[in-house]
Amino acid sequence: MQTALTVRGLQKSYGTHRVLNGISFEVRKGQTFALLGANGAGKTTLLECMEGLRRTDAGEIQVSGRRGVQLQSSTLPAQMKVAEALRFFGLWQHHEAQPEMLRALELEPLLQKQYGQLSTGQKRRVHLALALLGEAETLFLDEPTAGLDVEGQISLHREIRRLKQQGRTIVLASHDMAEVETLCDVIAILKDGALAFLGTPAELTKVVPGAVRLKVRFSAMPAEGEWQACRPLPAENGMLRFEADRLEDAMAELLAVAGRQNLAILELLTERPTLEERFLSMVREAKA
Amino acid sequence: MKAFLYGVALQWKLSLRNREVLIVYYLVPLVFFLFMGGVLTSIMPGANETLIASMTVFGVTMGGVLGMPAPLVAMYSTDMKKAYQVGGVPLWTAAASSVLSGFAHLFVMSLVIFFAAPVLFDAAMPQNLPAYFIALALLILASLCTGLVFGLVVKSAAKLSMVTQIIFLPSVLLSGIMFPASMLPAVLRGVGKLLFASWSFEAMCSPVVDAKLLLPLAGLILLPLAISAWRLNRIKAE
Repeated sequence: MQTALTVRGLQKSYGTHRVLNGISFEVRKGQTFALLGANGAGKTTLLECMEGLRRTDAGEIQVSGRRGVQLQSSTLPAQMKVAEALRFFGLWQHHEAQPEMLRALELEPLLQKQYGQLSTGQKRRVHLALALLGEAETLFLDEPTAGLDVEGQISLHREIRRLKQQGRTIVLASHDMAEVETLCDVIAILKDGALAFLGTPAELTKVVPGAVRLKVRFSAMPAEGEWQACRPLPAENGMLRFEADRLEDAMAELLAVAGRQNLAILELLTERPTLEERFLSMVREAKA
Repeated sequence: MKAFLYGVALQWKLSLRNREVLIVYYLVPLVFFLFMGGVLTSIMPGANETLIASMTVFGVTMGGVLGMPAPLVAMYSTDMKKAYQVGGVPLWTAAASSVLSGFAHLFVMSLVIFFAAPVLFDAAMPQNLPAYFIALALLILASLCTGLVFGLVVKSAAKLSMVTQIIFLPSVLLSGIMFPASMLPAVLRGVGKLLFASWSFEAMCSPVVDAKLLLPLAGLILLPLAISAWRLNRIKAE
């Protein structure tokens, strides 16, 4: 598979503060790549470097084909009509807005509206249309659904899927883990200006500790100090709570403890933390 | 080129839709002209000889220095700048479009005064029409280029209205448009000579095309242009 985006040894500092510390990764053509990170992790700086908005101190960024960018906080003159914006930016990019794209983004009824009269969701769709104007092969979408209502989010997710089906490469920065989990093939997590994780959503669920949580009610309280695979958490409603990396190890240990101490397991509940919980756990670990 | 020209035409339309810009490009200068035209010609003998020039200098200075920078601050100090950059639009084009469309607006406003003043206030026509219109063109450019510097340097709309008074108020008071500059103390006359309004007022009233008046005016266009070019490079590198 061809490479759409290559980032090699990227470094960026503001004064003496190093924001990006030798970041390297590749995004394959047609992949949807999620960029995650807590505030201050260097996510925006990395994105702006890839978008061509910011100069790097060292390293290399290669983007194949045209680049389309939808910024998180972007604005246009309030009096500019949607049709005028599309024509203006289209002329600079030597491309006209295609009717199919306008239909897909539901922009046709808005063409004669001024930018200042649009809702947040409508503005996002306009900026997505502007990003798509130049027939960009690689799209950078910075929190595209931030501030949108559910309907707006669904509509934008549908559009991102459509773009993915067209074979576009998408780099998506988001705080919405559900969005990342459902839309993205690869996830990169930034931590203190370096890549803390790079892999698929499935791989992320494996590497983060606490892949499974268990709630157990024994017939009597088991003796303390026996736990290895199960890490005790504060009890809740008379049920013991544990966190474990692998469900099978945790189950084996619970059965072994129950057998050794002649206890019956009266109730057992398991739950898998969401990607969001895993991500938050990673961020917490990073802060600790 | 097509994209740039469309940008200029679009900027013209945007400023027509922008109530604040319309107020400073047209409404206030023309209301001021209607009011002060009546007052000056009533209380100052001979005011009608220079009324067209004085009211035009006031209106153009107001439009260029107070009106033109506001959309530029909105452009260069906000995320609008990034939207242009990622959209492949060179940053200088927004400044250039604002200057060109501003020129058209202020020229139209000046023509309204030029044609209305003789009818309404029995104002005398300028002594030398080529001298008047050359000076008018340079006045508009000097005013817009000065506004351009404010638009590129000042980072908030709130500060802009205060900072622009540094040029606007002395231009009105010291250039000779409200009362003869000869009545001013020498120091203030000297300060007045630093302002494009003084040179352009003299040039517009001159009976000949006078290079001695036009050259300083050209300098007062080139200086803010150079500052603006430097500032645009800084903004691009930020």
